[in-house]
Amino acid sequence: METMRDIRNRMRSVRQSLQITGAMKLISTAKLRKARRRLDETLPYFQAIRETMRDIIMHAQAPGEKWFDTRKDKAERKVCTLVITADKGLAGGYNNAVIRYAEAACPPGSILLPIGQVGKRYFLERDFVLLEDFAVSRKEPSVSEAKDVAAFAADQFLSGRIDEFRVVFTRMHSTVKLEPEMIGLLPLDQGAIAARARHSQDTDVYSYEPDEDSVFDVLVPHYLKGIIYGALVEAFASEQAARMTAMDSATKNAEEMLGRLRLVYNRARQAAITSEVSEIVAGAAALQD
Amino acid sequence: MSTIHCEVLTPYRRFFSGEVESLLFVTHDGEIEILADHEPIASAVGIGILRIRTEGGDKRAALSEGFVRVKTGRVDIFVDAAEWPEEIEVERAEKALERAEKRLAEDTEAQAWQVAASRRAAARARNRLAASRWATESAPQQEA
Repeated sequence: METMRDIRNRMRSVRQSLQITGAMKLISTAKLRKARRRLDETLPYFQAIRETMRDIIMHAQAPGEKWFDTRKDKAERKVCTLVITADKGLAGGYNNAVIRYAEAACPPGSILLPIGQVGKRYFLERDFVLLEDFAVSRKEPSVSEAKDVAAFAADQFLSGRIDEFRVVFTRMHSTVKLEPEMIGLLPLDQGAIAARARHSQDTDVYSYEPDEDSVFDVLVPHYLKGIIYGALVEAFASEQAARMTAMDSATKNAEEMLGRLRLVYNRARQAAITSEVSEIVAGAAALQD
Repeated sequence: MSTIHCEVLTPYRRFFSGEVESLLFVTHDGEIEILADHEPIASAVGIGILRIRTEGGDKRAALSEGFVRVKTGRVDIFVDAAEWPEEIEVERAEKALERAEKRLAEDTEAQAWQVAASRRAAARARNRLAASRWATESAPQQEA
């Protein structure tokens, strides 16, 4: 049976963990509030830029061809996947869910571009080709960081080194519903053109100033940057939400454990007192004899 | 006067949303003015001043690069940054301009893209300064 001192020690360590998880919960709650605000501010841009792009592609006569899939018949298609994870753990299933999702989507030997330390460390040890290491600080995503990634992707795509880019990040449906998701970046989605028929009531035909190619040269990098930034912001908010939930349940667990230990401790103390009393009584009885 | 719905969006916020009579801004092809019933276009937006004309009067803002899409009854402008003149930090813009000009003057080994980036930084700073100057100069008239 555990002695009283053992139990006291355990209680102390649980109490210390409780303090840490409680503090982390408070911090991530504050960070989540901030991240959500950022997300709400970005969302209109993120959604509108995707819709607009779809619209433009749909109505373009002969859009900038180099941005589309012109390499379908290439034997060995090089696909690069951006995987957005956190820099730190202790965020419940957040990192794991993204990594598992990415692994399911990418067969071993695939080309990856991890963003975030946890993902990078994980993929480094496995059978993947890591293309580039962007030191994107996951503290607070910025547009200029998204711009660097977008410029890199556009450059690799246009030079023909990579035939397809896509991004895996965590979408925040609500604070408790976080789901990894994959969206395509490049080539531009020609499936949208197939949807043209369905939107035939919208008869706008865009004219391009000065011409289609130069408009697409500006438009596509902006579009990519917008999408990547949106994904970074959403992933960041998801990370905070996951951490908050994880730390909340850890705190609750610790409190529960502390309660149980207190019972055990009291029982042990009671047992000690009882045995002391019975020793005294036994001793007194022995004297009387 | 008939109006057209306009949205100016940046990654950081919805900068402007409302009915406008006209929009004037700079594209890579020169200045362009959008009125109601403009033909649908897609174009690149350059660094410059955006003039928004509404029933209530004119407003101006400093725009960074991006693109514009005009469709029937609606204009969307997507830019990296947009600021009203009163939001611009003059000191910061002046410092940015100084830095960019120093880079351009001193760094002779810079790559072409670095030079282009410095030029754009200088242009953005100048544009901000111009926008804020415009606001201080015309402020008394606006009140009148």
